[in-house]
Amino acid sequence: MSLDRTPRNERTSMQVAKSTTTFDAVNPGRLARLGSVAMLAALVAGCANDAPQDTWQPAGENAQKIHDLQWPVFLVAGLVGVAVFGVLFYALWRYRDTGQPIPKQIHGRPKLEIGLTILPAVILIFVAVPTVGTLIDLADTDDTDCIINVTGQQWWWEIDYPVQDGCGGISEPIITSGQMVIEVGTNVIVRGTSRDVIHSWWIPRLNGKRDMVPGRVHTNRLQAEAPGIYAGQCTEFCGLSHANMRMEVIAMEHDDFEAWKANQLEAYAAPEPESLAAEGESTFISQCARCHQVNGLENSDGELIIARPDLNVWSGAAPNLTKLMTRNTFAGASFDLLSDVCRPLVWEAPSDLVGERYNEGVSADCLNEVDLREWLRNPPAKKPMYTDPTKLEATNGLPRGMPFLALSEDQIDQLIAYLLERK
Amino acid sequence: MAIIERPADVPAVVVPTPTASTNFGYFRRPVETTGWKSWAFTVDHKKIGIMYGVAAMFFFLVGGLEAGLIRWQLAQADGTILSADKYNQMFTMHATTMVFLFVMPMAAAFANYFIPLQVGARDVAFPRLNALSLWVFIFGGVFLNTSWFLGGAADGGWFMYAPNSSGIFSPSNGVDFWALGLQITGIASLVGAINLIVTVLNMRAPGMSMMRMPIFTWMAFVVQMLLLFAIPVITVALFLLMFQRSYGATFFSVEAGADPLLWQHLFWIFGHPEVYILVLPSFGIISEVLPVFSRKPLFGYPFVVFSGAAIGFVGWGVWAHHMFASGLGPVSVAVFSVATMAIAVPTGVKIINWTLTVWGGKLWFTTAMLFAIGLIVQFTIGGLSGVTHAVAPSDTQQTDTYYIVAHFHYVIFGGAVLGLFAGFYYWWPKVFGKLLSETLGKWNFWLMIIGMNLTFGPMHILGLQGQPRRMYIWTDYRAGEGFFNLGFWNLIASLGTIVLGVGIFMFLVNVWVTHRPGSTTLAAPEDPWDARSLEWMSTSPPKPHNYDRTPIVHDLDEFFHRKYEDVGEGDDHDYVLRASGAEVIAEEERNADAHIHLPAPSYWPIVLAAALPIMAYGVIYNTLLIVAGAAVAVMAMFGWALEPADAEPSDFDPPPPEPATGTELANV
Amino acid sequence: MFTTGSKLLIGSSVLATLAAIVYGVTQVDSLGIVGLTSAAIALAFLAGVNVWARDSNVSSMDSTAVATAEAADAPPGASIWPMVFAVGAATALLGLVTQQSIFTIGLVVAFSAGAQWMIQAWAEAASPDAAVATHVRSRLANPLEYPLLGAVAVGAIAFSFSRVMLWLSKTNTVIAFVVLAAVVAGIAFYFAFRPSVTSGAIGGALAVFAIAVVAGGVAAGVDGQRDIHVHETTADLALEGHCDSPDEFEPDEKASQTVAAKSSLAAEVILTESGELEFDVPGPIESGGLGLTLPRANPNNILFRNESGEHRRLTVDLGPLSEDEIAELEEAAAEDSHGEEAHVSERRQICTTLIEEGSVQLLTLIIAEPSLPYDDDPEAYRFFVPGTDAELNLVVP
Repeated sequence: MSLDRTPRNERTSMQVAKSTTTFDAVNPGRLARLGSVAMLAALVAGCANDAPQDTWQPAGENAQKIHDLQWPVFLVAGLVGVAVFGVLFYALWRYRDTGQPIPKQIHGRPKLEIGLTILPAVILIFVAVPTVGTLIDLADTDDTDCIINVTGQQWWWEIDYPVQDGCGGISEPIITSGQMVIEVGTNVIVRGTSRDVIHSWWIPRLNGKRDMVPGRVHTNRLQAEAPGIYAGQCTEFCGLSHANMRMEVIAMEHDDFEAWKANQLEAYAAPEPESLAAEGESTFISQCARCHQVNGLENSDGELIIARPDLNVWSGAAPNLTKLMTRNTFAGASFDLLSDVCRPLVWEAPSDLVGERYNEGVSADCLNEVDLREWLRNPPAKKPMYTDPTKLEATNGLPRGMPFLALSEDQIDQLIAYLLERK
Repeated sequence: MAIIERPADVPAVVVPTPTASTNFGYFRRPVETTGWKSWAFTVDHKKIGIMYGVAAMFFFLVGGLEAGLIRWQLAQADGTILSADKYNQMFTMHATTMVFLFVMPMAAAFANYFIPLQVGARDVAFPRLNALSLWVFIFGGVFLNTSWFLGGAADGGWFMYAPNSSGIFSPSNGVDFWALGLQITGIASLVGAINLIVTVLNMRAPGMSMMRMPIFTWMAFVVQMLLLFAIPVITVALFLLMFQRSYGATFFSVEAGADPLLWQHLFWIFGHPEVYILVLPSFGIISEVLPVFSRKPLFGYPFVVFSGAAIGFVGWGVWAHHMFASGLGPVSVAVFSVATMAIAVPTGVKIINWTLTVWGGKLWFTTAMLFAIGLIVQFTIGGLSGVTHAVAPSDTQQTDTYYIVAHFHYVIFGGAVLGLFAGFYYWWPKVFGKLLSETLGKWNFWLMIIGMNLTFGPMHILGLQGQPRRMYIWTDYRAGEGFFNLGFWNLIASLGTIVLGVGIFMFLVNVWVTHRPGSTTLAAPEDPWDARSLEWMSTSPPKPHNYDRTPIVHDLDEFFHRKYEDVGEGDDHDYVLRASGAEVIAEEERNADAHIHLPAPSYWPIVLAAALPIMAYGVIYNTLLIVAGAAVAVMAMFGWALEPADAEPSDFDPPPPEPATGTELANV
Repeated sequence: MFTTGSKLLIGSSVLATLAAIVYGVTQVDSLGIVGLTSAAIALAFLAGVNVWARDSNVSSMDSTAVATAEAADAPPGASIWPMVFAVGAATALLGLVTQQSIFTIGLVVAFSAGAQWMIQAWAEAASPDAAVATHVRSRLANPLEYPLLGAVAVGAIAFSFSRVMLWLSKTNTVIAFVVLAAVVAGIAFYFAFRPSVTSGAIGGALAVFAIAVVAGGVAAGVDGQRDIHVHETTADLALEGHCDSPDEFEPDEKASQTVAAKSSLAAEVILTESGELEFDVPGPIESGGLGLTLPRANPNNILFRNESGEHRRLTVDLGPLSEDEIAELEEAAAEDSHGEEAHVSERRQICTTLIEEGSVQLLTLIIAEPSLPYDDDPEAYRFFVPGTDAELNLVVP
């Protein structure tokens, strides 16, 4: 930037107010030049880190297509910017007041201006054509290999795998939340909707975002080139805990994916009688099973327990906890189930080990007990939710999110022991 | 005010001599020229303009405070300054305040003050309506902000997407305040728009054809046309929202078969033209400032005019580019994507013409000029980042991230706000008769430029690296590795806010230094900048009646051509100074018109405006209040309709020696 | 200083306020308070105007005027309003004993006449000179009269027009509308190209048009509207337990025209020519297998496509109802059918209306409880088409 020309009021022949004659006292322009140089250097350096949601590090086909389209646009925009600023700053320097006479009173040159109007139009045509091409390309979903439903609600994602021949064959529906598992290299279609307000499904390194609107089914294509954990976040403002509505996609190799599916459909294994976990089961039945389904869980009469979240929370759904410890985040993927020590082992695993390590689930040693305990003690304190009974008039007293259950420390111990076996 | 008049030419009635004691039964007109009454009941477009500006400045500080709290919260991971609820209210009200209570009214302040001056009129077409829009805006803005003290402000974002805005998902009264407050300020905008459109079309001085109109007036005129058509759309949307929340309607309820995307379409059909409503006035301002300080006419005046008008038209066809991720389907997305790129063309024309205005000039870098150049630079950055998300596929990666926040702050702050500051420094001597300090002005400018680039520049990086907007916290786990991770850029952005805040504070210091009691700043000369357009042909500050005689216009830059004479031959134009600005103005004064008629002040606009928030509180709290407010409104409308055009001589204390007022102006 | 008229109005206003307070203390509902308070405010407003307009009593403020203005004693002019007021009052009384609508009309007439009477009195008091009085009268009354009369006129024309449209058959309404629009456009063009046409002629044409519309409306209103078929809704069908029947009393031949949400489908369910139920979801989900999977607790839009040769409906069976629910349904149905024996289903069923061959109908489902149809579980969810054997399992995880 070279904007720091000192105003040369002393050379202007026109009337100048007296208060303007102290122009040169300090020159903040110099500060600005230093600042801008520092900024520029920082900007260049700033793009070198490794953010998990970086849109400029595509890891899937669609994200790659978008990236192939966007970087030339950024380049063109940058070049246009350089050209405009070059001309402007040159003019500012060249035509500063050096005592020249009053300039020619030129009102315009229509031919030049028409030319300069057509120029940006031509540049934009070069941007528009590939844009439309990519749009049509991205909309093509004919070669889908796998369908996964996602349903957004305040403030977590439910993910279910409908019965289908795709995804390597799903014979019974799999239902999970927060973390979606896919097979590397397959074309997955996410069919999403919402139970309450508009949410948006976004896995930046795999594809652009798509709003999930109640009453509508919108699709989003995902395909990962390499195994790994791809972070995502709800990006349509969805109320109080919007910031805490996250999700992950775990891409794994074929064998790992088959193993994961088989594990998800394994029959319920009741805890060892008289163990802490068995006490946890009865605590779970009395406190949690109203909303949270654990497939195969039976009450003392041997009847299957069907959770009725529709009677207890506004959105009518709560995360299915059958295989909680096969996932490594909870509460809308807001908190880790893995402790700080174990987390990198999975999240930063070499590509060929991601599936294997993920499928190991969360063991007692690796559990992030701090966050889980705090959550069970008082969920709305851990993650803002609408659970204050005095403010639920509009929803007939039904909370939006998990309410405070007043669990004792003993009950929490039991529940953690029980939940640790859910994998 | 008297509803019963006794014309003197009716022989059967003897007219008693009016004295103060006979005034029982109708109100005396508030004809004071000093004191609070001279402001509260004025219909003078200049006083109204100043009040618009002061009120907007107040809301600018409120909105800035909200922005400061937002950045303080986000300076570090897992911020604890604000709760999630308060944070959501904060960013909702920050945007609402800045858009509806700062930029729009500040542009209205300039339009109110300068359109009549620039077209050579005594006042706007409907002076009392003008007062009404001012007071409706002020009461609406105050009403909106009282929600902070009545259970919390709106928390759905300024876009207020359904169904998150319905009573179930936002149970406090915040959204009610928001919906009603914006309806009220919408009335202000609509009334103001009609008023200014009529003024521009009907009240131009003799000889001022549309293509001789100063460029600021042109741009402000386009804005008023946009307002005229955009405000009804948002009003309809707000009505639907109000009925959804207060009276059980189901316009956006999926259970009842509605589609929540209806709101998005309505909102953005308003919301996109709104962007041009915000920036076009500033484009107009710097199109005045650049020629003056380049000593050259605006390059390609017709191109600038028609590109402004083109933006005004095409701006209606691009609303869905705010909804590229909403699931419109590839065909609609492609159409809106291309339309959005098309709108970059007229915008580019403007930037090219500004550059060519500077080219070949004799540049004088005053603070006003610096702000104008700052606008070109910052707005161009915003415009170019805009092109990157006109490309719909990459917009799906960028929308709802900080990249968009960066983009529109470069457009709105870099475009609209810098232009408004250019206007402050350029027209300050015209409005207040004193020049602001240039030294403090330079500090003001550079701190604001550095501050805004520090604040909004890093947001490009934050957004491209995946940080979504509207999150009350961000987490270290998603911030990446290394020193320059998202945490670093968040911190820089927050520190930048401080610089920006200090920069804006410099402006207030400048005003204080210039106008504090005992200030040594002398009165500004009549024509401090060697200006070109008509408004400088009045005294500074202008007299209540603006011009001593109605100016007759021969040229686009009328004032310049009265000062300079063309001594060139043929196509060769050479100008020499013939008379100074002060001399031109003195010449006008010598030939003042004998009879100058001005509209009389009135109580009714402020009374009518006060009725609206009463009714709005009624919608939220109690139906009875609606009845009471409506009664006040009906009363005020009757008073207004029945008020005679002019104050009676007896209203003056002491009464003027001879009837001083007449009915030359329309008085509605 | 307060004149008689304003004292009366102020008194009435205070009385209405007191009544509102008494009502508020003694009664629960708010309608009376709103009415009485509105009355109090309206009366206060009138009192304000009255005080302000000096209530015709010149002497109260200006003794000179009374003394010097001989015209102040001039007799008042003729007035039609006392008579109209009397007619209105009488009509209202008549209405009290006969019909409420007549009472309302009488009240409106009396009220309008009273207002006009009052305004005329004020105007004449201001100046006995007829021209001045008229001027004063129009300044007072026009802001009220013009919007009110305008609203009444527009309302009458719109209402009459709607009567005519409802009297014509469905096809004829379209023709009539097009012809009328063409005529209006033609006349507009005629006037536009003939600037010499006086406003009187235009006004006359408009008046003739307005009278014709109102007359047509009255005639059509007397004759009554065309038959309008009311089709049963899916809610009625479910309530009355008709979902498992292949019949319908009022089949809708154009049902598929009402389907707007053809995008955003969770699935399409198709009754094929061979009489089987299949579903279609984009992607690699084939019909068959365990069945169609739908998410729980979520509005799902299902499009039913009838490719068979007959009128058919799609029904979803969501398991048996509990005894309490059946009892509740029976009660509701009995109330509906006024004591006649009502048929209710013992299973939770939702269905589309009966649709013609080759058409489509939409069904929106929100399913609260999960269901996995592993065997012949009677509680398992399924789609079926009454009157055929077609069945399809519904999986809700």
